[in-house]
Amino acid sequence: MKRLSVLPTLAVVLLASQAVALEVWIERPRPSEFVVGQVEVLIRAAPEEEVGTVQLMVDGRQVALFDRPPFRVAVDVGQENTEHEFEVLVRSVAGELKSASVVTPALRIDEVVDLGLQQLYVTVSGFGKRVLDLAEEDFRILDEGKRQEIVTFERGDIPLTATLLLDCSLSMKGDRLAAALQGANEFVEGMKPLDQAMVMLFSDRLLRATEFSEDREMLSQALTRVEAAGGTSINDHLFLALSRLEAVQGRRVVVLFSDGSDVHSVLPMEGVLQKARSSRALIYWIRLRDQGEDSEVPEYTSSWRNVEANRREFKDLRLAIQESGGRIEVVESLEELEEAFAGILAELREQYVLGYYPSEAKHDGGWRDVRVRIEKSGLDVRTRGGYFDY
Amino acid sequence: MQSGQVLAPRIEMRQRPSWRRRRIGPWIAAALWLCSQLVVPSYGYGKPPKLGPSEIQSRYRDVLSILAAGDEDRALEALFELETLVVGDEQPWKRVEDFWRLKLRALREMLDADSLALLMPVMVLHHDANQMYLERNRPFLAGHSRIMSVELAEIYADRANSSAAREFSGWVMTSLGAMLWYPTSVISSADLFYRAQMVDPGNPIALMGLGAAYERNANYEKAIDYLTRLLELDPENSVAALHRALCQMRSDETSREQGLEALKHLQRPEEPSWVRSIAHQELARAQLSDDDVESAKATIRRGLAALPGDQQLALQLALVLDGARRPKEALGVLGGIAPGDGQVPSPRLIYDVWEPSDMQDIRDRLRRDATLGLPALVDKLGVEAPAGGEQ
Repeated sequence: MKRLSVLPTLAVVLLASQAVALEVWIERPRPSEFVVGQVEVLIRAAPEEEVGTVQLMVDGRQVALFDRPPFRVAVDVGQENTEHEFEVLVRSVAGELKSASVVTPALRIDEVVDLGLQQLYVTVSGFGKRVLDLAEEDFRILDEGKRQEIVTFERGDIPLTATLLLDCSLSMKGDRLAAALQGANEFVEGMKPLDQAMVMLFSDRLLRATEFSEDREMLSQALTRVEAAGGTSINDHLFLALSRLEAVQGRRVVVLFSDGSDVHSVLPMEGVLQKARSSRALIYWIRLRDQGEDSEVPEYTSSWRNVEANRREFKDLRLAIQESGGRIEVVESLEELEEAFAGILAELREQYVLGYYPSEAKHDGGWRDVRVRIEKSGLDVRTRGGYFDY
Repeated sequence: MQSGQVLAPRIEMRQRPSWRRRRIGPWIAAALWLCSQLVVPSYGYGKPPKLGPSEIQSRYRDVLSILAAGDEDRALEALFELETLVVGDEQPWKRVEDFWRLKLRALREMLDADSLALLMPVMVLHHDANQMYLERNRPFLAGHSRIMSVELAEIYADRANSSAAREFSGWVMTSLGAMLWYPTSVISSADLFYRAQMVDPGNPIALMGLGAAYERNANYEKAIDYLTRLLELDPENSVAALHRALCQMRSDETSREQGLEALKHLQRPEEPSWVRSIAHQELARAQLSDDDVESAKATIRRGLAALPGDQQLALQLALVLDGARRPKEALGVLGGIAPGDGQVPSPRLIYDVWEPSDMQDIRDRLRRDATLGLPALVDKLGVEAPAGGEQ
């Protein structure tokens, strides 16, 4: 009886020693690899059944948290030629901590590298609801019409970096601006700990711009004490928002709120469209439309453009939004505004993220059409329409 | 979308009209009485009025008496009270149309050449009432006041037939036209500018407004015609020169060359900074459309050196750099854009609207000049002249 009682004690000791043996390493990217833009990160931990949570940080900022394998994610490290530090922190089920890191180098001037992970944020809906139960094999990615192999697949809540771009021109005076600020505040309140946002208010010029921040109180504060005045320059400020977003990591989103069309921008929408394509940010436009305004495309002249040119500007804006994988939310009453902002945030929480390496990359700077299809019928799929193949 | 501001190129009123004192009290009283009698049939339309014709006549005379006593603010409030009571906001167009047509006919019949000056304060009263109604969100009554004011201005210009009277009437109409100027709709103001230019062909705001209105409607030849007429009268008018240059740029090839030259000229340090900014922006845009990226970059950089902190030039440079795949450099340029408080409008907004302070100057001068007609009104209404109001 005495000998038998020792056995459970030994088993506990053996199990404890096995838990200490947990290993973690970063398989991708490799330490010698130059990374820019979208990067596939692959973390290995063994034995997997010992893993509690896996936390990934890039350049000191947490970008993902896993609680089960596969520990694979695509992250956007921005467009700068610079070193990046990937650090992973694993907590075992027994509470033990293990870490690993990789520092990728900046590119030397004479180096040539082949980049190219393409990441797609995909919204799937059907019968008025978003569809959340699809598996990797349900998706088909077509790059220039050719089917691609999916290398990363995620769904659910991925951290986002958003710019709330709000039109504060004179026609927003009164209740309209108050409702828009309230709606934007709903968005801020709905942000989760890993999300970041910037508040950018504009009219014919930039009125206010915060830094990108996770601090919801600071962001909410930036949405107060604003007076509507001046003209409207959507193109100029969308370009500014996209440019500033490009320097940050993660899933990038612009939420534009405006009741009208561009009048005073110096930049043509055609140029901003190119920026939208290269930035790969999702663009949403909450368009406050007057009740009874029957024309889908507004018809107006200004000192800067005639009716035809204004129509073209509007169509290019719409194209930029569609190609980004975002959408235009038309709102006809102020009561719908909060819901519109909250709806966009909810949509972003329920996207699939697919990554692939294009099978026929040419690196000629040309535009490549991308389509995502789902085998099941009756579903609506929305994602970025393509990318520049640099 | 921006809307509702009224605003202006920097143009001075050319000369102040002088007015002689006339005695027309009995005539105007008779005119108002006749007017009220003629109005009677018009009340057959729509809802019955809350006031009878004689009461309306008496209340309107009270309004004019307050005006004659030199208290225009109180006269405006009294007019507001009367007109909201009689007309309201139900848009009884036919009734109102009959009302003011009959009033005007009565006035035409009653006034003689020597008593016309009393129309000056009355038309300015209705001019100011237009602004008051707009501010109080009563567009129908604003329109009613505007029509009254314009009709009186045309009668005055026609009957008085002096250059001073035509100038005064022209300024009333241009001021009203500028109030109606919206960045995306200028038809109503263009009509008033046209009428002002008919009574006073040299009115600079009317010429500028017509040029800008035709520019909006992409009728660049007409726009150039009006702006050229203005520049012949005022060769140093850089706002008109800028508008004409941009119209020339969008017109035929020969005009485009002239426009390009004018834009270079308007980059001089002595020009207003917003004019210089647009001259740089538009020259660069033209160079970009010619695929001359290097010249465009040089133009924008020159503009930024002359106008540091100019947001629109910085954006233009950033877009050019971004297009050349130099995003880091572009981001550096954009880093220089600091939020403003919105008090200083962008050059492209200034181009699009009338300068509020200039419009206020015109309104102030109209009010001052209108006092020259007060003695005639005092005489006709038999009220006490305003204290210290030596006219």
